Order: sequence, then structure tokens, then C-alpha cells
Amino acid sequence: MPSPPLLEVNDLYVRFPTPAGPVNAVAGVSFTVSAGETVAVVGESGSGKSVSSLALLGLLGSGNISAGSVLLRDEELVGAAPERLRQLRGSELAMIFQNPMSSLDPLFTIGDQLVEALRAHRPMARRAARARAVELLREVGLPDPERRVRAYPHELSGGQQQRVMVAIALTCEPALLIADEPTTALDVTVEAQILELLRTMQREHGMALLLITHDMAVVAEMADRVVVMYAGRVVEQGPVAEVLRSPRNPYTRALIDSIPTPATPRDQPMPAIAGSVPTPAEAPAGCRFHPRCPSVLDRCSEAEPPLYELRPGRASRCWLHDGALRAGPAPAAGEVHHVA
Amino acid sequence: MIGYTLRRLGYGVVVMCLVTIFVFVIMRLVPGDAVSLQLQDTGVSKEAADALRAEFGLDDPVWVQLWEWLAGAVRGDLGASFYNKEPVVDLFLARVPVTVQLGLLAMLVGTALGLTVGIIAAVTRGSVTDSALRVFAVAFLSVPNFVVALLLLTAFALWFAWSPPLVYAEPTEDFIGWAQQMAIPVFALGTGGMAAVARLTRSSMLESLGSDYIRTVRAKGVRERTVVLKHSLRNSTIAVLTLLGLELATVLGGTVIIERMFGLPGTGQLIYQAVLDRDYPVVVACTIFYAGLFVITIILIDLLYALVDPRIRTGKALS
Ligand SMILES: Nc1ncnc2c1ncn2[C@@H]1O[C@H](COP(=O)(O)OP(=O)(O)OP(=O)(O)O)[C@@H](O)[C@H]1O
Ligand SMILES: [Mg+2]
Repeated sequence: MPSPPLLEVNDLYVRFPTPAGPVNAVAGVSFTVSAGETVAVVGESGSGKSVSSLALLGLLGSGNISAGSVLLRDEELVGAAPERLRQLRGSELAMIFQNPMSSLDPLFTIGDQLVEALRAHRPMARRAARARAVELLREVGLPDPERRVRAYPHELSGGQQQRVMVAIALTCEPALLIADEPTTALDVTVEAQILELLRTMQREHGMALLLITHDMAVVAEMADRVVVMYAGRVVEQGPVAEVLRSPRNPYTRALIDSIPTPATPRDQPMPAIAGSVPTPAEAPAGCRFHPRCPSVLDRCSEAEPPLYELRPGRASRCWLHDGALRAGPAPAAGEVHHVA
Repeated sequence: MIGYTLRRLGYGVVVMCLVTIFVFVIMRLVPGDAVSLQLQDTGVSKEAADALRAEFGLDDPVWVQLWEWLAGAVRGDLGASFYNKEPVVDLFLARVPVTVQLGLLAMLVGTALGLTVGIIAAVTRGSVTDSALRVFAVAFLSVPNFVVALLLLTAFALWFAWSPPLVYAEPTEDFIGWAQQMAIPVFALGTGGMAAVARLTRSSMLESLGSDYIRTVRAKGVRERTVVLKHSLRNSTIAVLTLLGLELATVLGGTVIIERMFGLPGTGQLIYQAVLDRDYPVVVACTIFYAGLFVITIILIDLLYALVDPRIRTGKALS
């Protein structure tokens, strides 16, 4: 194996208090991101992608990490002091969000918001920060940056606002950029531009990119490896080309089948899999996908399959892989099983 | 921006005219007039009384009186008191400073305390502190300001054997005496506003603290103090500003009773006595003052909105 991963997430559980008692929105998620690599996290709405990524930054709000570990360059972030997490946010870990239109403070200029990010982590004269802000805006391809630095968010289009978000994320040269559905709120041509921008920035700054999306087409275009999530669990992971060519998990296959072909009408963004992701509170017994699964077996409603490691770097959570297993008691969910 | 301000100013003038005319007419519809009240039990003949009415112009139809009054008003002559014949303008200007001090201080104290309490409650949401502050706010919101004043007076008298001086002193002459006399009235008048501001600050800060843009600020690694006091507070100010306009009306209404209770020689006392005496010119002048103060504040608040929110500045309406 090459150098140890930049980020290592191990068996992460995120719990939210709800009126009906605590629920686990993320239940036993593990993945790694190496320096400079692009990892896509894919899954339908409600599968826990945002919650997982916010957990990495310590920005869960009412929720908390109830178990697991997050290692950034071997430093444990779970249970780290809030001040330490604050230092890492923006400097080592940056994040951009789904809705650029509401992600910038409406009362401050673009320049002020960039300057604030620049000065949050290192002492910097206001004027120097201002000049750097203009430079960053130019770098992310915002036209007329000298003027735009004085603009307010409402004076920019959604795509321009997302460019500003990228500029903010780049201020301190983070090691990892998390992009949570950065193009979902934008139209198709702008989406392509923003993805291209992310790719360029990643190459030029040598960052790792954790790209969250529910669009398999974006995964195919952008990522080296993919982590497929469903209802708070990882159901499949592996190198993108391989997973797309021969998905091993029925959920992944369904997602791939839902990539729009040129024949699919444009106004229908994604021919959905019938049904929807259960909320954490109503997750079914057994495999969480079984009520919607085309290949469902009897045992799928009884016990949850483990994540079978099909070979190093390739895993899938499905009873279909059980054929290769020795007879014995059903392994506990969440446990990783090696298939010879 | 200038057009916006002028338009507001125009509305303000229209509102003031309407209020003035309304009060002018209503006062004259209330049974009893200055003459009958003054001559009550004096055994003066009806003829003499009518002569006095004629002198004041009270025997003319209302619209004639209104016309004559307006004709004077545009020249800056608001008439003379029916009682001591002093020009209303003089009578009134002597009283304005006290009411302005009282109202302004009450608004300032109420807003400052309200913001502080609201911020603390918002950042300690769900804690004991939060609950205690909320109970405290509801209590002040539901108790009228004169009751607060009475309770404070009683408490200070009982526990500290202290009561405010009875004779008003100008702050320039005797600052300590002035401060002692103003303290309870200002606080009593400010509490209602404080409670309302605290509640609104808390709820709008909670809303903004959960918003996307605050998440971005946090993701930048900005200190929590800055997140709360710079971004969240500023975004909550817009809602609070709206409330301050309404608050001013309550405070100005409150000055009437509070000035009487504490013997403060302000316009509140003046209007109170003038209404009892049916001293029409004084009542109308005071009304214009209150309406004017209100209109000016509303315009100031509108300007503040624009100062805080660039979307208003550039003419884009808030969603
Ligand atoms: N604050 C919260 N309180 C309770 N439950 C929550 C909270 N935030 C998220 N959840 C639950 O966690 C689950 C996963 O949510 P998450 O936002 O991570 O989904 P997602 O995969 O990012 O979906 P999307 O594509 O819509 O962004 C959802 O079922 C949601 O109900
Ligand atoms: Mg999401």
C-alpha cells in the first residue's frame, strides 16, 4: 500500500436526539481518503452523506458522534477539544455546501467574508488580506474580481456564489476539501463549470477532495474511489471504474441504472429507484435496503449482512456474497468479513 | 436611497396631519369644554360663559375652528392655553426635554438589556440560564410599567429606606439628583421593551445560528464569539429594529402615567392635565409632538434597516 491515508474514518456513529428518542443517522461508516485523492460519497437523499461530512468538521449542531474514530494525519478528531477543531476547520479541512445562495452571510461583502477566513488562522494585515482576496477570486474565475470583492452575495448568481465559496475554502490551502453536493442547486451548464473548477483547484493545490453527490454521472467523471451509502451505512466501496463497470451491491446497481442516458428527458433529473430512503427512526430490520431491493432473499429481512471485503479496497454489504462464506453463525452487522 | 427616505418622510407628514385632525375633532366631541369646567360652581351667568366661548372661538363650527387653527399652525402659532393664556409653543418646549430624556433612556436601557438577555439565552439554549431568563422576560412582558414602577418604589423604600427625590432637577444643575429621580422611571418604562427585545433576539438568533451562512462561518474556523456577536447578532438586528418602532409607542404612552407618578415635568404631565381640562390647543400640540416623535423614529429605523441590510439598500426587497 502507498503512504498512510490523510483521513481515516472508522466505524463512525452519529446520533441525533429526537422527540421519539435518539436515532443514529450514521451507523458504522468507515472510509479513507489519501492525500490528493478524490473520493466520492454517493447515495440518495437521506442516506447520511451530509451528516457524515459535517461530523468530520465537528459541525453537527444538535447531533453528536456517539462512537467511532476520525483520524486526520493520525490525529484523533473524535473527542478533540472544540478549539482544536476550530483551528483545523478552514485550515486543514474546508467545506463547501449544497446551497450557495444561502451559504454566504447576506450582510457582508464577498471581500469581508474572504478576509475573515484569511485572518481566522494566521495574522495578516487587513490590506494584504484584501489583496489576497482579490487574487483568490481571480483564481476561481470570478469575472472582474476587483469590483466583485466589494459586492454583496445577493448581487451574484448562484454559480458565482459557489465560486466564492470555493475561494473561501481555498484561503488556507486545506489538505482536504469536502464538497457537499456543490452543484445540486445549480443548473447543468454551471454544474459542469463548478466541477471543472474543483478539478483544477484540486490539481493546482494538491488537495484531497471528498465529493458528496447523489449523481452517479458526477462520480464517474470526478472520482478515483467511491463510497456508496444507504440509510446511514456504507453498502459498497471501491475504485470508481471497477464499481461502475461491475457493481456488486444491488443498491449500487440501481443507482447506476438511474444515470440518465441521452434518451432520458432532461427535466427529469434522475429516474428514481421506487420508494425512498427510510429515516433513521424507521430503518427496517435486516438489510436496510431489502424493502426496495430487486434481488431480495428471505434472510434479508431477518439479519443485516456485514460489509464483505471482496478484495482489498473493494467491499459490499449484501447476503449475495455469502456463498463464499464458511458455514457458521451469521456475523454481526457492521463487522467486516473477509471473503477468501 | 434618497427617494426611499423622501417617500417615508412624505408618509410621515400625511400621518401626522391625519392624527392632528383626528385629535382636533375628537376632543371637541367629548362632552364638556374648557369654559364649563372652569366656571363650574362659580355661579357665573350663562351669558358670561358664552362670551368666553366666543373669545376662544369655541362657538364656531368644528371645521371653522380647524381652519383657523391650521391657518395659525402654518405660521408656527399653535394658539394659547385656555387657562393661563400662555402660548402653547412655550409651554410645551419647556416640557419636551424631560420626556425626550425619559423616552430615549428607556428605549436605550430596554434595548441594551434586551439584546444582552436575548444573546445569553440564545447561546445557552435549553439550559437553566435560558429558562430563567425566559421566565423573567415573560414576567416583565406581562406586568404594566406603572406596576413595575410601584414595585420598585416600594422595594427601595422598604429594603433600603431610599426613595427618589420629589423635585425634578435639570441634569446640568444636579446630575446626581437627576439620575436618582430618573432611574426608576427609566427602568420601569424600559422593562416592557427589554422583555420583548430579549424574546425576539433569542428566537431570531436561534434561527440564524441554525442557518447555512452561519455554518459557513463556522466551517471557516472563525471563533464562536465572532460567529455569535458579528454574524448572528447582526442578522437578528433586522427583526429587532422592527420591534423598536412598536416599542417606542408603548414607551411614549407610558411616559404619561410615569411622569405623573414621579412628578417629572414632561409633556406627559402636560397632556394629562390638558385632557382633563379640555385645554384643546395644548392637547393638539402634544399630540403633534408625540406623532412627530414617532414618525421620526420610524424613519430612523427604516434608515437603520438600510444601513444593516445591503439588500434593502440596493432596493431588493427582503424575501
Ligand atoms: N438535526 C437532525 N436531527 C435529526 N435527524 C437528522 C438531523 N439531521 C439529519 N438527520 C437525519 O439524518 C439522515 C441523513 O441526513 P443527511 O442530511 O446526511 O442526508 P444526505 O445523504 O445528505 O441527503 P441529501 O442528499 O438530501 O443531502 C436523514 O434521514 C435525516 O432525517
Ligand atoms: Mg446532504
